[in-house]
Amino acid sequence: MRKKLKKIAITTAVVFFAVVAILTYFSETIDRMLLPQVKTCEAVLSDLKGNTRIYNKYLVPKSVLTVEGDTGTFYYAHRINDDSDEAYVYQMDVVITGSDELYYEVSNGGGDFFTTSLQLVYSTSKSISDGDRVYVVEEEFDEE
Amino acid sequence: MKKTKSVLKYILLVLLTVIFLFPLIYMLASSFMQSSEIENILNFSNETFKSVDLIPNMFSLEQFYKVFFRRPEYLLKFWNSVIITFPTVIMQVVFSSLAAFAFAKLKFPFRDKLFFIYIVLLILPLQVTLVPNYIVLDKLNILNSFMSVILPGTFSAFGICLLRQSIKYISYSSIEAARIDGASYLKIFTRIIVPQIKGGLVTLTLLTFIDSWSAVEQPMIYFSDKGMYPLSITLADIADSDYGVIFACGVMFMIPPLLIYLYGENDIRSPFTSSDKL
Repeated sequence: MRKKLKKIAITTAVVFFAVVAILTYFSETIDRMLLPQVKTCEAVLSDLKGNTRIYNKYLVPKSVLTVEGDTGTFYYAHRINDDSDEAYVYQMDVVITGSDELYYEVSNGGGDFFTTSLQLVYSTSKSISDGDRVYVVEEEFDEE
Repeated sequence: MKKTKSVLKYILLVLLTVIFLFPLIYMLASSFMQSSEIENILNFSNETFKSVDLIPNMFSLEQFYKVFFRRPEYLLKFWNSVIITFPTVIMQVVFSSLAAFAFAKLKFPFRDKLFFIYIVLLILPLQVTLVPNYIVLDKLNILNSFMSVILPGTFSAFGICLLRQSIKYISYSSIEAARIDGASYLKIFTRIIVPQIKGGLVTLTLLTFIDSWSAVEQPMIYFSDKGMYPLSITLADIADSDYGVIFACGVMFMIPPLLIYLYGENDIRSPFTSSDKL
């Protein structure tokens, strides 16, 4: 009985540490695979006429915004740190002041503060909501 | 009358057992709850518990899923605990048993005075030695490395005091007999002393393991890199933690000491005598 208990304790310990070791090794990869993968872009300080010397008018790609009336909602990614591809996404509202085939012209709405440094989410592999953790995928452009 | 007394005694014992086991049962039960349920129970907004639930509304492995698949940082912290604890335990058992053998059976100048100093060190609270240790570790240039926690733990006075008591029970005659047969002190130690203090060694292993495994102050002071923190700090940091994950981490965290206890359960019962009856 005593020897059996010792044997069970050793076997359980070996299995436990082996499983935890394997999970530790793969957990980051698994986590990354399960996170929503998002692609981001930045807004441009400009109006639809191309006037860049303007205050509080930005051009954002149409895929960024979910439009409701003259208000647009979008998500932006805030990286955990500069080197990390992991980020949290937050929702923000803007006022739509115009549009063309590719862009919406927007300006700050409500209490949110829109800047050109925001990483605007234009594509996501899974549905996201405010405060979700995501993985930011860098867009690869063809040389041609 | 006698029967009533016995029943009352058992009721009291069961009650005491439940009180002592409550935190463990609570942790286990909560680790199998969903996040929403835990948030509902542990609502600290009014600085009170909303309720105490020991049976999950819906059995869920969500917390374990988070720990093992979604939050790699907790597993890394678990390994930090392993890196700190295992070398500390192994080295403390080795050095303490050798020192205890010297203090108990060898004759050398100032032996008892030196041992007295060790006892004084044992009485000192940990917090008193933290700053002097910090200065020494800084001079040794090993701050912010695992060695800064392992080294002070290795040369703890507790192990020497515990094992010295175990070794004192061993008769001088067996040591003298071995000396006459030409055995060296190392041989006497490994062949005569160690087999007879198995209980003490297992007890020391378990106590050192628990002490090192649950260390909070030393890593917090000696490590500036938070990535090196062991899991014990994360478990203690309730304010910034996800309660559900903490419960699941707690379950994972208690498995190694429990396994060591199961392994040495019989030897632990009598630390001052050999597990094998002489």
